[in-house]
Amino acid sequence: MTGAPPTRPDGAPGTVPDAAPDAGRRSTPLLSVRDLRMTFGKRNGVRAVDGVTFDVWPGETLGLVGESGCGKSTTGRMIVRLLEPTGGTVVFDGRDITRLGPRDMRPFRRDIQMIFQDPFASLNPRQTVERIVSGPTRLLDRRGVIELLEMVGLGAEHADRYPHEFSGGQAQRIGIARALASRPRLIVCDEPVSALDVSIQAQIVNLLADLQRELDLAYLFIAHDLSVVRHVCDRVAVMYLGRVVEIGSRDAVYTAPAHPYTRALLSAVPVPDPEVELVRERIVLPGDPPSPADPPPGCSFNPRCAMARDVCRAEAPPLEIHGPGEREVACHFAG
Amino acid sequence: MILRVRDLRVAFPAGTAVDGIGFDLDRGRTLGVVGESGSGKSVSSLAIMGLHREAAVSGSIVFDGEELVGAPASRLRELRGRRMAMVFQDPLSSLHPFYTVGEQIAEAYRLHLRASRRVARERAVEMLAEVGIPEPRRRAGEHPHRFSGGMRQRVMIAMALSCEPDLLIADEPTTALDVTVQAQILELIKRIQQDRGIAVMLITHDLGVVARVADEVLVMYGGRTVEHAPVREIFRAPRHPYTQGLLASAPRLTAGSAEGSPDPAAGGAAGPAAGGRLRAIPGSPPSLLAPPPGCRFHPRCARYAATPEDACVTEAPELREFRGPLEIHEIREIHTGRALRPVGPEGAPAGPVHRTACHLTGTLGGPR
Repeated sequence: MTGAPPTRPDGAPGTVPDAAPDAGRRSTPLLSVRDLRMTFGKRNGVRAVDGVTFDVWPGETLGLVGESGCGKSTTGRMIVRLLEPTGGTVVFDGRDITRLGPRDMRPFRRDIQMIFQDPFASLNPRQTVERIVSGPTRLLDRRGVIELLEMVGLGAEHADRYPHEFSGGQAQRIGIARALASRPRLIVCDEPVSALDVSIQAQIVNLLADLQRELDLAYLFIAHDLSVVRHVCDRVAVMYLGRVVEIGSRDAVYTAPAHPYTRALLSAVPVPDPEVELVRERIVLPGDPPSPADPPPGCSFNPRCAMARDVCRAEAPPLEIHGPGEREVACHFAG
Repeated sequence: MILRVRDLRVAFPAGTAVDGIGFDLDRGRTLGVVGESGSGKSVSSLAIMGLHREAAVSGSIVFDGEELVGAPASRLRELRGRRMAMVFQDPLSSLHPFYTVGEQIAEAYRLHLRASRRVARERAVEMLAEVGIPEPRRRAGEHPHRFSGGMRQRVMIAMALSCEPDLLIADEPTTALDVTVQAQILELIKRIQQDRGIAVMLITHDLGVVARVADEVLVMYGGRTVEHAPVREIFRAPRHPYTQGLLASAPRLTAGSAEGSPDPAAGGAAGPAAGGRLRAIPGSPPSLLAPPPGCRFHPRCARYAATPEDACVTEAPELREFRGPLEIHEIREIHTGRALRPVGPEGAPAGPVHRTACHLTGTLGGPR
């Protein structure tokens, strides 16, 4: 994956093909997001997502990380069309689905599914597990439901129960079974383990990995927990205030982060090893993430950035290839 | 010894949430209390603060020589906020939306120290400055909704510290915050503790947070203590299968943290490789309505599954001292291997011994 000169087939940033797994074998991305935008409100609208571009390749996991308000969940919701983007395009399997009406969208709704953070809030409390998993259109018969339940580590005995009878981890398994019912090719996972206890998180992470291998699924994995993201993702996109500031292979981003925000973010995560914690370099960022309602001019990270100079306050840096083809960074002084 | 807890039990009509925990806490030290939901970690801290109305609290909580279990409510009210203070997970729901933050900080100070409004108001501004809120005088006149999550948590800390307490209980103080803001708040708690020499009891589910700030760690499971040890030993040489399982199941941020790990199979500091399978603990944490008999962890325990013993099912294991060859005598810099400072008799406080509650520890499956 290294060595080849970086190229951009369609000139779009965020799409270096070398960074994708098995780039040679699979030449078209499953999902292409181009300059996606979401502005809430009409006048002086809040630009929650401000021109996001990336690809997800078949069978891979792309992590979308960032702090609250960075636009990562809004991006996920636009991809599954829970929200209508105010700009940009979403191309799935070669077809632009951004403006499809409900009828034309239907086949793609099967291909693109979603798993939510709070398993209980996303399951209808009045429906049995069988109803929930088979879906509103009764995609599956009882045998099909039981097969899926077994696939996610539950069993036939759970089919007639209601959500409140389950623990958080089990409820998340039901949510996963429901997502799988339509045989999707892409699942948008929005903080799928962050509401779960540590010992249960690992069970769900393992389950998602097994399912990906068996069913050749691609995941867009939206999360704030950088340790979990490192574990499950092939590539990672870091968002700050509605934009991608760094995107690249997991190893490139985690072992040699190039954007000062990525560096600060990684250094802020507490590591469960007191001896490492004692000697680790830590960059404590001043201030809070700015509000997307009132973004600073230029690079949106500049008020918290130790490296900021005049150009950073004047011009927003574009996402550009940095280093040997494995990553792109939006920083005037990427190190 | 500012706080001495022995055999603390908290029973609700529906079940026993805390079933006999004990520890000592000195001034200037931080005790990390780790556990999953339902482990009893928050219930214990509320019991120390005397904040349970419906529960039967028994055992002993001695705060600076004074027994709090059975103490009159009026006495607890005097101590609470004055000599022991608490910071909660969600700062917004702990702040009153109607009053300015300055008024809220000043209220406790006025009440406990019988200060005038004017003095209390000055004190509030002073505290906001100390916790790093810019323009404290102006900000003191604003309402909580004008503050960000991190700033609200700073306000809560300012309020907790305004009467110079001896003990600060922080219950998941950074769980609702973003990671860069969490780093700020943890630094703040650490700095304040060092400046003022207070005792801190930090309750969290995050092993990384514990590794960063705690001196010693109490691991709770199903309302009981399963392991209690100095922080380095918990991470370097965990003895209880639950602690080992927790450490082994957590994905790691860096591959490097596995270096020099004593025994990955025992769930030492080694994390699983990225992309590989995490070593999950099977099953779910127990329900306190119907806890499993014997050792509460046995239905999920890998060691019990490998070498089952009747005692695991019939008897609750005692918390026993463990003195083994596991003491770590120095901290080495991770990459160079250079010894940074010695730990032990003169280097650091002696700290607690390593205690664990497991019938099978030391017989099979334990490290070395």
